[in-house]
Amino acid sequence: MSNWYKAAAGFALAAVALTGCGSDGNDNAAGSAGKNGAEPSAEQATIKFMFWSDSASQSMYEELKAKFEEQNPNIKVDFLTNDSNTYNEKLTVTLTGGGDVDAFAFKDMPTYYKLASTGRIVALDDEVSANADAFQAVSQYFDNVKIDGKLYGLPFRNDGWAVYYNKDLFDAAGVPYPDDDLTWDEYIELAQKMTKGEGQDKIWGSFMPNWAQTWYGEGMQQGASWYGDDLQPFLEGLEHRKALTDSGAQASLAENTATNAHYRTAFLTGKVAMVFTGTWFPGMLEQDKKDGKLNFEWGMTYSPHPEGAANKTSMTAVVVSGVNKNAKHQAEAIKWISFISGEEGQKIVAKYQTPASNADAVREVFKKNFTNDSVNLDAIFHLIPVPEREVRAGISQMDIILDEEGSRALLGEISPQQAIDNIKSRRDKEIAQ
Amino acid sequence: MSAKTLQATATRADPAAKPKRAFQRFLTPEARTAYLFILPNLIGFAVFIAIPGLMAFVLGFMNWDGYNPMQWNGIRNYTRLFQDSNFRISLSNTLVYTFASCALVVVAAMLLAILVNGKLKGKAFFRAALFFPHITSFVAIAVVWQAIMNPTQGPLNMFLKTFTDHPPGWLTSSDWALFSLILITVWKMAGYYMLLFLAGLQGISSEYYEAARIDGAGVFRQFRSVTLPMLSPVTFFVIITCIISLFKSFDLVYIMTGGGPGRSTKMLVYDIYAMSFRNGEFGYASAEAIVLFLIVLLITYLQFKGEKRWVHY
Repeated sequence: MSNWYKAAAGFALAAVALTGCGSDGNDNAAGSAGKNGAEPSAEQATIKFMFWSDSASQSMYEELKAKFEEQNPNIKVDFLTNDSNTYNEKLTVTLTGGGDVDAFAFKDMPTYYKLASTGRIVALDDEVSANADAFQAVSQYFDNVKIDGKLYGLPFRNDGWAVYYNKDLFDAAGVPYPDDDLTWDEYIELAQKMTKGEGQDKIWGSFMPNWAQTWYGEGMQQGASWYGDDLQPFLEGLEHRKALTDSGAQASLAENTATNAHYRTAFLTGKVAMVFTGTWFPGMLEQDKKDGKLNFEWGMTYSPHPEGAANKTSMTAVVVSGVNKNAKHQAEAIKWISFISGEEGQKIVAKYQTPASNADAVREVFKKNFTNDSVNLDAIFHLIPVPEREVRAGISQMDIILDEEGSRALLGEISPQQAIDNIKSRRDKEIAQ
Repeated sequence: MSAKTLQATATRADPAAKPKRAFQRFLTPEARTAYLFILPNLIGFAVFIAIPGLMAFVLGFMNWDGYNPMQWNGIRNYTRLFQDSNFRISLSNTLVYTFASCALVVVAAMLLAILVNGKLKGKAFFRAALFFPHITSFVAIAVVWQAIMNPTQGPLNMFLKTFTDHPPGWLTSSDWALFSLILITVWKMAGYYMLLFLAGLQGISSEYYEAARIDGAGVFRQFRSVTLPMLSPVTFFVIITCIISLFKSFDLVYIMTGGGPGRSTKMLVYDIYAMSFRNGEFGYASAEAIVLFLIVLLITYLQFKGEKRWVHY
C-alpha cells in the first residue's frame, strides 16, 4: 500500500510541476479571462492586444491605452507581450492554437501576408471606407499592404530610407554636403571622393547594412517587380552596391559580417562620411547625443534615386496592426487599432517612433523629439513611397532567395548577372503559384 | 517476498508469453507500482514527443498552413522534396558536416583522452580546460570564433598571412564556411567525448598492458591491440550519439552563418524550421522531418548491424 501512496505522490508532484511550467507565460491572459467570465452580460468589453516588447513600445502602448480607455469607458485593453526575436512564431502559434487574442501588431510583412492570406485576419476595407477622413493621413500606404485588393492591416508606423552624413568630415574635406537630389551614380561618386587613408585611420565614404534591400531597392524605386520578366533594374542596383565595396568606398560584406558591424556604431566612430539606412536612425542619434556618444554634427537628406525615377522616391517599410477573425470583441478591437492609426493615436506614436501619418499636427509632435534641426522632417514625411517588399505569395521565400544569391554576388563568388539569373530560376521553381 | 516474485516474473517474461499471461503480469502489485512510477515521465513523453512525432507522419502527407483544415496531398510532398534544390543542398551539407565532424571528434577525443590519461603535469587543469568548450553557450562561442576568423583582422588570418597572401575567408566564403563550422564543432564537442573515453580508458586493467609489454609490444602495438578493442564499446556509443546530435544541429548554424554565405551552410533542421515557421508549410516541413528521421534511423540501424564486427565484449 505504501508503494501505491509513493507512486501517487510522485505523480501528483510531477503533474504540479508540469502545469506550473505551462501557465508561466500566461498570467495576463488568465487574469483577464477570469474577468470576462465574471461579467458576461455587462456592456464592458476587454480586448487583448499583442505586441513585441521593447522599452519604447511598452510605454507607447501604455499611453495609447490610457487615452483610449478614457475616451471609451466601456472598453478595456489588456496587453500580451512577447520577446521581439520570437514574436512572429508566438503570434502564429497563438492564432493557430485558437488563442483568444483580439488584435495585434505585425512585426514584418511576411508574417502579415501569411496570416492574412490564410484567412486569420479581418479585412478592414469596410471600416476604412466608412471613415475615410480619419484614415486620410495614413492612406498613402494602403496600396503597399493590400493583398488581392483587400486591406488587412492599418498602418501606424512607417520608416523610409535616407542618407545621413557627418558634416565635420565634409567640412574637413572641403566637399559640399550631399544635396537634396542625389542619383545613385552621384552617391557612389561622392562616397569615393570622401574615402581617404588606410588601415585604422581610414575614412569610409559610405556604410550600409548588409540587408538585401540596400541593393534591390534601386529596382523597387523604378517600379520593377521581382515577379515580372524584366529584372534589369535590380541588376543595376546590385552592380551599384558592388561598385561601392569594390572601389573601397564602403566596407565589404565579408568584413561587416565578420565584425557584426552596425551602422549606428560605424557612424558614431566619426570615420564614416555617409550612412544609408532607415528613418528610425535620427531617433537613435538623438539618444546617442543625450548619452554623449555623438561628438560631431550630422545632416540628412533623401534616399538616392536611380536615373529616371523621381527624386524623393524611397522604399518604405510600414508597420501595421490587425484584428483576429475569431476575436470575441471584433468591433471593439477594430475601434482600438483605428484609434492607434487615427490622428490622436498617431500623435502619441510620434513621441516614440516614426508615425505613419503625415498630418502636420503629428509631424509637430515628432519634431519635438529632436533638440536640434539636423533632422530633415521632409525626408521622413514627404516621400514618394515604394514598398520595401512586395506583399504577395512567396514573400518569405523571396526574402531568403534575395539574401542568399545577392550576398554571393557581393562576396565576389558569382557575378551580379549570375545572381539575378539564379534568383529568376529559383523564383520560378521554389515559389509555388 | 519481493525477490522471489521478481525472479518468478523474470522467468515468465519470455516473448512467447500468451496475451492473457501478459495481462496478469501487468496486474501484479509490483508491476502496477512500477508503471505508476514511470507514468509521469511517460505522460510527458507522450504529450511532448510521441504524439507530435506521430502527427508529423500524418502531416507529411497533408497540405497544412497551420490554420485552415488540412488537405490530403498524397506523396506529393515527398516527390517535391526530390526536386527542391534547398532540400538537396541542405541534405548534402548536413551529411558532410555530420560525418566529417563526427570522424574528427572521435579521433580528437580519443587522442586527447589518451594524453590526459597518461603521465602529464597539470593533468587536472588540461582535463578541465578541454572540457570547458562543452559547457560554454554557443552564443558566446560564436562571438569569439567570429573574431578569430575575421578575414582581414582576425588573429588566425594575421598568422596565416606570414605563409600566404590569400588566407581563406572562413565564415564569409562559400568554400570555407562549412569547414569552419566543422572546425568549431570539433573544438566544442571533443572535450565532452574525451571525458567518455577517459572513463573507458580508466576501466582498462593495467594487466593487459603489462602482458602486452612482456610479449614485446611497442606503444603503437599496445594501442592497436589493447586500447582500441577495449575502448570499442565506448567508441560505439560515442559515434552513435555524436552522429545523432550532429544531424539535429541547428543553433550553431542559426547563430554563426544563418545558412550562408549563399546556401553553403544550410542544414536540414534549419530548412525545416524555415519551411514551417517562416513559410507556414507545415505539411512539407513534416515530410522533410520524416526523411531526416529515416536517415538517422537507417544510419543507427547500420551501426548496430556492424557492431558485432568491431565492438568487443
